[in-house]
Parts: sequence; C-alpha cells; structure tokens
Amino acid sequence: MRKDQMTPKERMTAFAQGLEIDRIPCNPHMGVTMAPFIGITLKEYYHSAERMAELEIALFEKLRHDGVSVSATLRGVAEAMGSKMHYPDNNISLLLAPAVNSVDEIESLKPSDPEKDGKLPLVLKAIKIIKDKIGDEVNVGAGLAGPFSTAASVVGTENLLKWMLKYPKKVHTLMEIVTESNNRFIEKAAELGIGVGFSDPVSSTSLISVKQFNEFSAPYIKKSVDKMKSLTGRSISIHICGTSKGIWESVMDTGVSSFSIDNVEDLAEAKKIMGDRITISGNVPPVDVMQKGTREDVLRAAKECIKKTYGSKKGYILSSGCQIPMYSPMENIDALMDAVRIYGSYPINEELLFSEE
Amino acid sequence: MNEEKLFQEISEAVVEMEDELVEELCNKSLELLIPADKTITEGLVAGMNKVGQLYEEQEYFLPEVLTCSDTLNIGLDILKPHIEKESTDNPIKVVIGVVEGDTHDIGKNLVKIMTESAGIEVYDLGRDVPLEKFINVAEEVNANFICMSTLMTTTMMGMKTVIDMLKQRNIRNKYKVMIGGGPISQKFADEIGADAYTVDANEAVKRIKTMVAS
Repeated sequence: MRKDQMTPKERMTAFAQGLEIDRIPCNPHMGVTMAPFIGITLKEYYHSAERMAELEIALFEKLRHDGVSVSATLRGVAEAMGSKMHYPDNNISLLLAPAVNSVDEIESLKPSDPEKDGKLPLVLKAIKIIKDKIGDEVNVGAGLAGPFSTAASVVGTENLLKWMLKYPKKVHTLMEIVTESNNRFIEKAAELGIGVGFSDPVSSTSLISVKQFNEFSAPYIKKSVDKMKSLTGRSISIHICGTSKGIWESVMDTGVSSFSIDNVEDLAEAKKIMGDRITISGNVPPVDVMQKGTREDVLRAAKECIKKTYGSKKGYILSSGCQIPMYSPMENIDALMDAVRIYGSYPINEELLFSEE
Repeated sequence: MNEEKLFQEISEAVVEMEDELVEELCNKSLELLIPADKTITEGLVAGMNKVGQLYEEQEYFLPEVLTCSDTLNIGLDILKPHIEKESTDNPIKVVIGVVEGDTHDIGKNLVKIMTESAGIEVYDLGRDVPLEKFINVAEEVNANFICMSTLMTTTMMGMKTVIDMLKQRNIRNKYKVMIGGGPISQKFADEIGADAYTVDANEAVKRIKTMVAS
C-alpha cells in the first residue's frame, strides 16, 4: 500500500481538471451517523455547529478522505420552511409534521432564509469553522436534499406523490418555492467558496417514473445547477438512493458534475452509460459490507468497484452506496481508504486489480 | 346494466383513479341489489389487482398505486356496511407495521394495499410501532404473519429484537416473519432468522401465498 503523495485538496483540484493524480479519490459518505466517533449523541450533533465541525475535523484527521462536508440533512430545508422535526437522542431526525397539509396552503409557502431559518445557520457556521481549520488541505462542501426530496418533507411524501397526478400545477409552484430556498442556500455556499452536493432519494425510480422525474424533479435540479455554475463556474454533485438507471440520461442532462450511485445499481452499466460525461461515485454496500462486513469484505467490494469503473473517462470516486450506517466499525472505513491506496494508486497495477482472489 | 358490465366499469374506474365514477357505480350496484361482497371482489379488488399488475410492469409507479388505492377506498367505504355476513372461511391474517424509531411508511402502505387486495386480512399497526406491539397484536388476532418494514439502518435491528422476543416467549414457530425496506436484504433476513424477505410489495403477496400453500 502506497502512502498518499498529494493532499486531498491537491488531488481533487487536479482531478477536476483531468490532470494526473496519485491515486483514485475516496469519499466515504459519512456525517451525522458518525457522531459516536467523537462520543456525542446524534441529537447533540444536530443542535451544535461546533460539534458538527469537531466531528468532520476529527474524521478528516483520522482518514484523510477527499472531501469534507456538512449536510443540511434531507429534511433541513423543509424544516427551515416550516416542517416540524423530531430529534431522538440517538437516531436520525424524523419528520413529525409537514409544513403543508393541503394543496391550498402551497401558495402561501415562503422560501427559507439560510441565515435565519431552522438549522441552516448552524450548518453554514460549521462549514466556516471547518474551512478555517482544514480548508487548505481538503475541499469543503455542503449537502442539501434535492428539490424533489425537500418538497416531500414540506408536504409529506405520500401527498407529494399523489398531488403530482391530481394537482400538477400546484406541485410545480411548490417546486419553484423549494428551488428558491435551495438557491438561496447555494448563494451562501458560493460566497463561502464551498461545493454543494444534492441527495435526492425521492427522485429514485423506486418511487416515481422516468416521465415524472423529467417533469417534476429534473428541471428544478437543473435550476440549482445553473445557479451554482453562474456563481462559481462549478457544478453540483448528486446522490440518488435506490434504483436510478432509467433516469441516468436525464440526470446527466441537468448538468451535474458527478453521480453517486446506490449499490442496487451496477457500476459497470453506469460506466458504460455515464462514464464519458460525468464522474461516477459509489457503491460499496453500506449495510452488508460497511456495517456488517470485515476488512476483507470491504477491500474485496472496493476492488470490485474500482475494477468495474476502470478507465471511466470522467473518473471515479470510491464511496459507499449510501450513507455509512451508525456503528459501522472504523476499521471498515479505514479499509475503504486503504483500498484506493492498494488498488487505486497510479499507475494502476492492472495485474493486481484484475487478479482473482 | 348487467352485473358483469358494472363490475368491469368499476374495475376500470379504479385503474383510472376516477373517484366520482366509482362512487356513482358502487351506489348503483346497491340500488340493483347486487351483493356488496361480490361487487368488492369482482369490481373494486379486480381493479386493484390490475393496478398491481401495471405496477409490476412499470407502467404504474407509486403515485398511481397510492391514488388508485384512495379510489378503491371510496368504493369500499360505500360497500362495506352492506356486506351481509362475514365470510366464514379462515382468512390469512397479517400484522404489519414500521418498526419503532422510523416513520417512513410508504413501502409498508404499499404492501398493505396489495395484501388486502389479495383477500388477506391485514392489521395495520402504522409506523414507529413499539416492538412488543407486533407480538401482542399478533397473539390477540391469531395472526399467521408478522410483517415489519423500515427504511433506516438505525432501526433495522428492531426486527431482530422482535424475533428474539418471539423465541423467548416460545412462540417463534406460530408465526412467519417477513421483513422488507430499503436497507434490508436476504442476507440480513438470514442473519436475524426472518422467514422471508422480498424486494417489493408484489413479491411480498406472492410469497405470503406460497408460504401458506406449503
């Protein structure tokens, strides 16, 4: 295993320009579920910018992964728009009551203010702390829910899905307001000089059709991508949980820079369909491998991912197929990082990578 | 209008999500003195089965299935009070819910809709269900199946707790335990000793039927 030759910042800067790098980047999908790593509850994490920053910095010092970010969570923008959350001591936050309960209330929704509403100010503050502390070594970013997923937490997922059929115009109004909320956050991110990544589970074809994605989700992803590009020249990355193959073309057409793919989809297919146009990321199984597997299981799964995406034109970033579950052993996350140092160091040792065990 | 044609129209109205038409046709069936249980089975449920088929063929997705289910319920609300007597044969009974700590219930609702349409009696415990409640209700109603769902990795171990509690009470063999949800896999099902895992709602119904038959 070779030691890293570049800092994560140097590596990702070169990677973005298509220049030579020392190894394949690796960015485990972490965040709140890692709170036990610094001995705090998830509830403490959610309510303190200092704790959010402390966790990310501690993880970076341990792992030296290729991007550090704080997520406004899947429900954060919805909370800022008036939805009520429940924060259990040691579990992910839950949507208690959506901001909107009938279609007629949509018109009166207001876009959120990232400097005032919900926990968004905490997220921005945490990012500033992190950037000051380790921003010279690693790119710092913010996570947001994709517009369709935010809308689901503003009106309730079941309502959103049904209203698309019964009140399509109202749903478009809702999507406009949600997108404005996202774009106001993106403006702040641009001012801070940080990246933005969308997580958009509700856009999965596990829930909606390709046609519905194209009508109600993709145009609004594109609006935020265009916003980010106009302000910074850089695009937005996206993660979609569940099945997504049917919408890969549409997702690429929104202009996102990279796509992190759930482990239910095949990276070899992803390379074939998307590799020439965008960076592919993913998709080591979070539960069966990252949480419940051994170090060897992680190395084997990571090697498989690197193998399947080998030679992908716009590059590949090793990651878990979704957020790493709570209480996954730190040894397994170490193993994920080691995998890029073993199998992903340039020039790639093809004999090793393609060897059968 | 003859019965056959009316059932056909009700079935189509469910598939097409036409609430008012279903209401009108179900009321008409009562005026024509057609037995309510027959209209339910051959009209409403036949329609919902067609919806299930369209979902399987990926013609319909969740938004359509959920909306059709609302249409179905409008019809059921009209007809159910007019069922003359409960069927006397022994229906399969399923207790279903989202495990404690999780409120994501769309997947569970979908399984419930499909299972009910297959003529199975479903006891829906809702979401964020205290773990012992799965067992208490199953005992109370004499259920055959305990079905649990979760979308979150933080709550999936609750499924194991339920199975362990069944073992402790020496009633594990009384029930078939089925699990499902985003982070769940066959591997996880094997690990915690669940009887079945299925990837979606249609599969779940098929599996319930094959398990009952065997």
